[in-house]
Amino acid sequence: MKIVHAMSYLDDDLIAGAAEPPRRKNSKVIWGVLAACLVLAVCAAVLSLPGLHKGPAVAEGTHGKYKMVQPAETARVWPWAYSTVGEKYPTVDFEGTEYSIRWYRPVGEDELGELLGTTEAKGTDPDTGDAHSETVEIRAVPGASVNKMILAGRDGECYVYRFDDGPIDITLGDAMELYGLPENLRFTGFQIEGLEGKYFQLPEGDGEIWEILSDCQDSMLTVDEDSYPASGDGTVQFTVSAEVLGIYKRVFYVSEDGTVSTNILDYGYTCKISPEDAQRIIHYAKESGVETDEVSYEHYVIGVVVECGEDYLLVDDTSICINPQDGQVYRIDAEDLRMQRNLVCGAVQEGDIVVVSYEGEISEDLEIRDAYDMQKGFLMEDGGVAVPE
Amino acid sequence: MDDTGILDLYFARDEQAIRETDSRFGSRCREIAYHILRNREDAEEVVSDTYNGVWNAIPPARPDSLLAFVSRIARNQALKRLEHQTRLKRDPGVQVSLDELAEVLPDQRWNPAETEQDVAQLISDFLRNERAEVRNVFLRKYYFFDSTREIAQRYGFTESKVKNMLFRTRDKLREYLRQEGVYL
Repeated sequence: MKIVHAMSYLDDDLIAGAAEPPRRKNSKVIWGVLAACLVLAVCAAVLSLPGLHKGPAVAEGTHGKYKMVQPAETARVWPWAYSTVGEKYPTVDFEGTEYSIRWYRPVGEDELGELLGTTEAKGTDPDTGDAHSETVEIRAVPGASVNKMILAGRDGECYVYRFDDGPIDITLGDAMELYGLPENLRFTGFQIEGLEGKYFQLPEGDGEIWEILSDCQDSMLTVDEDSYPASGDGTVQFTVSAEVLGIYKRVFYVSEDGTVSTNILDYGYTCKISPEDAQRIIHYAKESGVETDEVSYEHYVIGVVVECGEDYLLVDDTSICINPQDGQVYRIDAEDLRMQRNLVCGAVQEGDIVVVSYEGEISEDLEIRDAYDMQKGFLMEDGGVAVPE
Repeated sequence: MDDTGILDLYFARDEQAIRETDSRFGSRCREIAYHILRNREDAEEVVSDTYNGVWNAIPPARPDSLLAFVSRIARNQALKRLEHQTRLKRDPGVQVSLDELAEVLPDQRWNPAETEQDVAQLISDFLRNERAEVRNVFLRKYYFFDSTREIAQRYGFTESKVKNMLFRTRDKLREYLRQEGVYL
């Protein structure tokens, strides 16, 4: 059985690729790969195109300052005391239904729906095996059915949980109603197949798109393992997000023949609407879309930690910049638990290269107040930074 | 600790390297060894042999991917141990996987001019041209020796879909090896 032994000498990257955990439990690999491609393409666009942003780095973030970053999914297990509610309790039971966490970032306080009650969340400390429980508030997702989605947490820190009953066929109308899609899901931008490298925003919003889709409510969304997303020249690939549904920059394709495909419900769903309706959506996008280079998946600051305080760190990106003269020292607020634990647990120390993800903007005095994640990276031979798995 | 840090420990002959390797890759090594041998004790011994193998190989080796390097040694150690078992003692599922793979390129059809490394390179090239899901399913089955059910659960497929994918991929690979002159 020489071929069995020959298999041991396959290329390293193929083996490492197959060893990686799938991105989402039960998700369609086709869609996972597409989502990953979208993410990487967008990251690459943001991080590897120097000169797109001519203004001062202060106001416009760090776009174009750094060489390519190779991000990776890291799944560090933090001590129980430094874990968020979402990390401690990946599932919660409420009124006889088990909901699973869908998004590990807390939902903004102004997005929270009405208080539905409380429940006892149960979790296990992975280090000690000790069982823990605590009372958490259960809130509604505005516009969505409590049978599908809830928010759970405490002290205003709530996470999105979903009852996942698997890939079931559903009409577009039912999906819109169950998840409150027109209310919650925003079409934030799009690309057009055949016009690679161009990004468009929808400054007039997505009301028109939802109006057209509301005419297609009887179309059946189905999961077909062998189906491919809508494609072909002219297909519009929308980026859609709904923080309160735990949907962040997923894809929603509309092709001229009426094929609509999306992974917003985790599985790869496809439906057929009439070609006329599809063309109305595409026409609207093309007519009202405004070309932009302001596309970012996440905002990063990458640099060397030069000082660690109790609730802040200073990061100097001079050695990472394509042009060292663009180097700056950022003060990063680390009061948020997700940042604080890196310092307290010694995960990040002075001299380390870090990739810090943040929301919002960098202030005039180079302060980042809304950092939410930090990964250690290392410098590659080409000057880029890679984050190990 | 990342690959570079662990490699530095090996090069410094610091035994902490093995603890770090176990921490990062131990569960994967156990998984491969168990999938091949279906026996926990044997799998543990394979993992132990694997770490010895890695310790002896680094330096001089400085692998680009420590995961691939370590898993490869674990796989080879487990296969070596499996070869000492009679066919009857082997887990039927593993035996089926071995037989399926052997049918792609039976030893008697192997072009003697080609080394295992040559054939591995051709299979790598072939897999690289397949869709990621097809490639990973094939590797989970014939490199990591996952059961069909485990693969189906891992990727959210039905078992019949996994079986069909494997069947088609084996057929295509056999044809590819024939075209490349490896399958005589």
